[in-house]
Amino acid sequence: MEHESDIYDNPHNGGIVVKRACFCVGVFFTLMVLLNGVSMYKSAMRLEYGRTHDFWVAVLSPVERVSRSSGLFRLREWTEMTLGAWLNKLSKK
Amino acid sequence: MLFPTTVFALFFAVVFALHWGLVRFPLTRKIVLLGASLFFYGYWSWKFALMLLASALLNHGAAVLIDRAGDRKTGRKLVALTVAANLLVLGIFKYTGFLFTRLMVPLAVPLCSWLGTTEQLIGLQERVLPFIERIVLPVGISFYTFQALSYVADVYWRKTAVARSALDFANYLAFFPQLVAGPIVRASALLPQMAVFPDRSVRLDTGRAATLIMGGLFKKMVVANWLSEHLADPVFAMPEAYGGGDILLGVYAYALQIYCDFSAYSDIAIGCALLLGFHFPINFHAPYFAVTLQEFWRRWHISLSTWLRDYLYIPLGGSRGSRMRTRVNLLLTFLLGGLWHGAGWTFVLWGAFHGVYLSLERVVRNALGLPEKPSAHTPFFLAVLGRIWIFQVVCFSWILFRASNLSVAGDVLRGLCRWNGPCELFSVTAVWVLGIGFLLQFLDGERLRPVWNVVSRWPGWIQGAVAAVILTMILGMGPTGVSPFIYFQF
Repeated sequence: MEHESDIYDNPHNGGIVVKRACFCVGVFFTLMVLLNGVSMYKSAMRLEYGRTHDFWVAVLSPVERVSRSSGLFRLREWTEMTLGAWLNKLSKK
Repeated sequence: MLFPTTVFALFFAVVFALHWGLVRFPLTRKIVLLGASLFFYGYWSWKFALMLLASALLNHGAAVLIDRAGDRKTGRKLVALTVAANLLVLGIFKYTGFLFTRLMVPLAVPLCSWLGTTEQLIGLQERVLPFIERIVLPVGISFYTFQALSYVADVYWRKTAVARSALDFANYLAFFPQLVAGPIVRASALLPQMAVFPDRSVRLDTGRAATLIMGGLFKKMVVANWLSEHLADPVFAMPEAYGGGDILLGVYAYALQIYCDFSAYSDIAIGCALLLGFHFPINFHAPYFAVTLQEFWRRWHISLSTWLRDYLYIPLGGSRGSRMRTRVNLLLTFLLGGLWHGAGWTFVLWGAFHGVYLSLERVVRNALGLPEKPSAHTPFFLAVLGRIWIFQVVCFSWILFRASNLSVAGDVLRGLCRWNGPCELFSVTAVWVLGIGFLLQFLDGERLRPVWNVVSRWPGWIQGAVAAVILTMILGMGPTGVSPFIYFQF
């Protein structure tokens, strides 16, 4: 187990400037929330009653409305009903 | 806080925004990152966060004293004291129950029976067990203790400079992406990055970060969770209820589950750190493509195997002494490596198995005149045979690792010889998921560099949008709920 060199990634590889990366991450989070708003809200509704439940339901209800009205939630719904249902059919029985 | 959750997504979005928004305020930025890491850890329990902070302060204080020690003898004493203190804390939280219930009591029972003091032993157990049951193992304590130990040792050996401030060291030890399940990043690699935070002139490899995070989430949420729920868990929960075919399927499934689970955590950690401008070593490099067990350990949990090599195997003497001494060193290293994973006889046996096999592998390869390391020129047919063989050897060892106790391990091994009855767990989906789990090893290392470069060249909004769509599909494919990563228990 000795003699081999440790493998570290190369910090000098290419990439994009921080400003562009921030924009990219911003787009990712915005779209993520819109695509998954309905599912996130449903998950929050399943939380045990209490302050955490109330907090997340309050935070996610406007997100759920935007996600539903924009129709973007349908991608998640479609994936769950097709690929997800096929993969998890045993556990969902 | 678990990676694939809404809470973590929200947490990371806030940390990312603050980290890059506070570039003009270096000290505030460092304090914010430490606060974020402590919040991440304290989400389990604020007591854990306080313990981590105390560990950071004490180890940094010790390192400063070691650095300032006038002579080597004082330095050595301080190192011994610091190592002992770290191991004592780890021992109390992780090994008290094991030492008392699995080692002391079984040894004391025949002795007390002979001395006629069984009642006193029962009384002692009744007093001590409630105390032991109250001990809660802090998540990731093994990981950050090893990081602290390597820092102290490196300062003593003058391999790394002492941290500029306690804040820098605390940021190194508590950095949230790698805090609970590694990689075990060396001080020499991360401390300089913690001393001078990346500014806005750096270029962020978003292509690599996105590929690692999305790939990691796919490995964990789709593949590892499926293999665990449908194949591995049922087999290891009731091995006596399954035939040889099902058990073999369950063992293979666990081998791929643990790879997909653990490498997923490392990948997500590396990806998150990259987005914050920090660079980690890789932790997995297609381990099931190894031709020998020695090569397997160069590819599996690389940060732990190199840690054990540098801070245990080599200080024990490594391969500098006689052949017998080398074998003893290997065995000791792997026994302790096994114990590091968990307080149980199954982990000790798992470590012993690897230590003994590695020693035998050396003997056999020497006897056959083969080089110690398999060269790139190994004939294709032999390399394939070697890979298949080593995969079986590693799968066999995973039985010990996964079984909750020796009795279950025995049931699984007996079940492997019971080839009657139908194969209930076999399905086309199982073959697909197992195949995909195996092929995911191609994501390791630098193989995807051309893909990262192409993704990095896309406009920012396309990168973000594609990542969001892929993540949504991963979430849709995965089962409901989030199961914790396997390595959280270590």
